[in-house]
Amino acid sequence: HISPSERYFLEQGVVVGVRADGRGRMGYRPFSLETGLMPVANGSARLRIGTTDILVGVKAELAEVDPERPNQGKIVCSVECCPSASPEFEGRGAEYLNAELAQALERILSPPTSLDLTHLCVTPGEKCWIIYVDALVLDSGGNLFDALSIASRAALHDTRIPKIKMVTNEKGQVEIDLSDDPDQFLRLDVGPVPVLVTLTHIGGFHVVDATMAEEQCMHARVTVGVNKAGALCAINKGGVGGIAAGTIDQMLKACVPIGLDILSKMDTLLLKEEQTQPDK
Amino acid sequence: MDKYRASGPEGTVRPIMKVPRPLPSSEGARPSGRGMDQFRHMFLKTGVITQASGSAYVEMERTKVICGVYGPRLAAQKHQSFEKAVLTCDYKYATFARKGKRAGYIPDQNEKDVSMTLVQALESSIFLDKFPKNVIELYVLVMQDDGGAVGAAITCASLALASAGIEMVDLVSACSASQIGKQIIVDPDVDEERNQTGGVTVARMSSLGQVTHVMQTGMMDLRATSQALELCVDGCDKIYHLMRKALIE
Repeated sequence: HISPSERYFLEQGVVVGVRADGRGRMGYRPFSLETGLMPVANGSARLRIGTTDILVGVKAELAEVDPERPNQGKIVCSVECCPSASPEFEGRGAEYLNAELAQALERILSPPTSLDLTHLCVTPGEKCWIIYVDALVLDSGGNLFDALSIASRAALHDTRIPKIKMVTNEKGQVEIDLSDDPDQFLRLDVGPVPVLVTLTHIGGFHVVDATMAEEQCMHARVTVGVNKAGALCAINKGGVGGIAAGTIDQMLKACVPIGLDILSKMDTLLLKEEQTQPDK
Repeated sequence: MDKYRASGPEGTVRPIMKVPRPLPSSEGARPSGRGMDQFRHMFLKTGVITQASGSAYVEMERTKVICGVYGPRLAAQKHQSFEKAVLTCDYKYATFARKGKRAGYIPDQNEKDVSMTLVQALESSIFLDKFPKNVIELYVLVMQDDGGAVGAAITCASLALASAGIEMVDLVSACSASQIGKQIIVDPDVDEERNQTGGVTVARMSSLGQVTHVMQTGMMDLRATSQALELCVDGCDKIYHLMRKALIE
């Protein structure tokens, strides 16, 4: 928690355009991204931005298809803000925050916004892969929405699902036939997956990539999902202040170039990792 | 496990009813016969729960939402707040409210997220600093969801707060719009919501001209989003007038 003088200092910094760490209002902290850290999981990624540290693990399991969508797999997201990350997250303190973050991730990862889940169908009408995206917030330094979306997208890119076929054996039972080649994997195309960009409204201006202290001074925030084509999805306003409708329009327009920039930085990092470690 | 009900034998599957759902055609006719920018008829009533400090019931044809407000009353230790009141909300779908599977009793992620949404949408409309050390509890129950439940819940909760006599800056009204193909339609019902490419829900304080909540799902380009936002803002203003009438009567 911050004192009223510190709040005033941060607000005035935003008004003048120089934030506490020297960034301008639209300045994004540099981030580091690693994938494939956990061989037990189907996919994993770790993102560090400022003091925020996010770890995402992806697990795939076989499940029955949803009768309303018989040709598609499923994706389930969960977020846990570890109690070790902040004293506010102890016990059930983070319950509602976890739900809000997980819902935001589900909105950007579920169809129609992004992943093509038809690739995850094993037997149409019967079996499909269900992807569990589990994110852990190991340390919180602000801007959790954006960090979680970047880390989840990287973890899904890293995900490798074994190629299987359901075959009926001589006794009439259905068995899983695993492909003989250990390098044969099903990968997910994360090209169309959006990332979230949060604009925090402080002192009458909006800033991107707010730190924990800046989030304490916020009047309201708007989180927007931006994909490679510059389309918007999963807009969500948070915070208890009200904003004029015209300001919302401005914030939406400002998010698009930031989102495109993050996506291109991310894709460059992921490509470099792929090239330096081709077989994991 | 539900101990109070005898469930059917294991291995039962609910019947899948393949009823063709008519969709808005490309010329723009909605299956319900409504126009693109036509809202459903709305019924608003306050004072429906006698035991609550304030309550309201909102019905938009087949979407039915009821809200009870309890408070301002003294906060328990956990709600520690000395300068202003704490607003909490418990949003829940009745188990029979939605099409498809019966919902459970334990709040799932979606219900918790909407509870937070309601608090964020309504907090700025109440003079919370008039009630230090108090808690105002909202309990919203969606009895039937035929589309637009979150918007109806925000409207209902705001009406309930007003009927409880809690001092407010302004009433908050909310509505939603969907994009299907290239058409933007207001106040979608549940079939239109399921087939949308994108949808927007907006909550607004009309006298102040401030938006207290925006949520968008699906894919929409900037132009479509701006258009949908404008339509929702107009819709919110219309609903605001209905809310005022319901309170005066």
